[in-house]
Amino acid sequence: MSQTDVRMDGSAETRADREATPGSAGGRRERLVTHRERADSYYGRPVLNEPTWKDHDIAAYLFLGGLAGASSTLAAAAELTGRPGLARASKVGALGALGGSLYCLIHDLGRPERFLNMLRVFKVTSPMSVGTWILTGYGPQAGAAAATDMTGLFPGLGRAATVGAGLAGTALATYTAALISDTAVPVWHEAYREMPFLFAGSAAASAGGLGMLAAPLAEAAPARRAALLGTAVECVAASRMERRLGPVGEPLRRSRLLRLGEALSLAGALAGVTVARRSRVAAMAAGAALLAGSACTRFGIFHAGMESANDPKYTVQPQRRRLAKKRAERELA
Amino acid sequence: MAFDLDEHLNGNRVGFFTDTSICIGCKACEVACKEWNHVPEDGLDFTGMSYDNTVGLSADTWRHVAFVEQRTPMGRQEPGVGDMDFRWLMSSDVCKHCTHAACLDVCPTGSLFRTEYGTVVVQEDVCNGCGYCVPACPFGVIGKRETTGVAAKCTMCYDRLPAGEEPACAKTCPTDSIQFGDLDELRERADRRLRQVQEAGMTSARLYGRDPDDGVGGMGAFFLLLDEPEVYGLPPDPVVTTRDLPSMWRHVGMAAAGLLAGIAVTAWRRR
Amino acid sequence: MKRNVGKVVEYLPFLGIVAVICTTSWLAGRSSLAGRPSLVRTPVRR
Repeated sequence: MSQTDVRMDGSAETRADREATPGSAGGRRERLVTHRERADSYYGRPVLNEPTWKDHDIAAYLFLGGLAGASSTLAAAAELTGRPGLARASKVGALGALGGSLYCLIHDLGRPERFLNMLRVFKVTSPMSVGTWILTGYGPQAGAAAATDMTGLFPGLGRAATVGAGLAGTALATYTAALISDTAVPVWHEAYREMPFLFAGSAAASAGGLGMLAAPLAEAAPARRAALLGTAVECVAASRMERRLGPVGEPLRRSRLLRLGEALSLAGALAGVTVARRSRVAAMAAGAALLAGSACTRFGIFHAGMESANDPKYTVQPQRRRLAKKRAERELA
Repeated sequence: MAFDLDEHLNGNRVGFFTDTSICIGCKACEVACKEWNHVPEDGLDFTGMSYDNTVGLSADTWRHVAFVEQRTPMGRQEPGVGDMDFRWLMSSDVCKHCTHAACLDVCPTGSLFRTEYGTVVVQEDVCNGCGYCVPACPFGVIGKRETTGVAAKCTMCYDRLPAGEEPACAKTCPTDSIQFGDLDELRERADRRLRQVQEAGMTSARLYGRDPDDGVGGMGAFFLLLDEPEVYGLPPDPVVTTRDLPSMWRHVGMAAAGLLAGIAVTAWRRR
Repeated sequence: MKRNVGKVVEYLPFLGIVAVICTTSWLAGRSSLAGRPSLVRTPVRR
């Protein structure tokens, strides 16, 4: 292996150019050293490269994947408790959301024709790889569940697929939290403890919303309760996240989309357990509000992350504090 | 992180030591890199950021020379710009080829791989342009190339190494600010150099990425800096994002179980 | 103006997908009522 060495004569005694010592010579006039402000960044440029993900693909996928997964779980619960109408509506909704998810994922690729390359490996270190395999396991079951329900063919197989999709659906609805948290984007990464619960809650709320919107009133009780429980979990997780993150959580606390999402979800969930129990129109309106609220939440999380990636202070300042803490601990020890 | 890359490679790991104290900002490295690797042109903009018009590392900039202007004395030098202290810091940034590389960890196609030299390289014909590596990199090195739709970054001239040639940037660097070689040897050399520079009066000099115990397990390309890393646009304490992944999966598991239990409970009651 | 139109167009596929999901799911929910007219209008009250 060749190595850099600029010496022409090969003599070890000769001082090479690279041994030049900057600032070692010269006659600097004594001046008062003015107070130096600590630079936070290089010309205000972000440290991280901006994620290439587009919100209309990836934030949409976070929403659709959660809707598909939680709808399948709701469908399985409805089927096992004798609510065929809610089960069928949720299965068909899940299949539609799955199709939308795949469209968004493939549309976001730089080389969409190579999307199957993700099936050449399984890597637990890559949530996207794990997610690809979750979708591969979930997709056919969700498809079979919806198809057998609509056609009435193979009821035994349909029951098995429904339960299988319901179980795989919980993984689909929550793994997306690891997907965005496993990045250097400050808001997404630092929030990794609450993110899965926020996403699970948001997914349950959207699936409940779709159930309320589509299923007969008499069967929609689980959807109404799922929406309420999901919204509660989502709001608690979001407020814990915003508080725990401290200065890094600023983009979350500033996000108008997140506030709108919370308001829509809460309104939908509360309407769900009150007026929507009796009125079909109110149930549809509450369901639509829940769906919109969940979508706003996902887009809000996505944009808060992008904002934190594009401002160097969210990258540099927490790391500086971490270094200072480590130094202080070393000095104490 | 029980895997010890340095041990695994049996001392075959190569790297860059970029000694920014002798960088003269000629940008020969940027040019040599673009020429050898056929890296496309990515905009001819005038930024007003000192002599820096390349701005930062990206899919189409694999070496980037930073120019920092400070009203701070440089040792005993007399800057000669009136009654003002002044110094120019120049530094050629590059992919760090981390021991624990987040881009490689998160790549879902296996396009990014660890070479026999301990470097991290993208296989252009495998990458499907999912873009996951871009936000995973704590340094903002890798990017997605617009024209091809796939990820691209420094390969440490993977195609030159088998021929016994050093990477194009190191070959062309006229002051030896960019030094290429066996990583262990470079680390020793850097330690000696740091002592030399500090004894000469630059007490703010420090090594960046040399320590194998840092958040990325030590960098295959490390630096001697004359100021805080963030001044050069480098993160002060980078951590590989996958370090927290086991905990992330645990939280995901709990949330998934909670989702299942929650929906089961909502369906339990008849009404 | 043109840029804003372009931005809105980017979101159309997503909005279309959501609309399709809601419609198909709603139709599926209705189709399950066929043969069980008692459930169509008034909810069962106990």
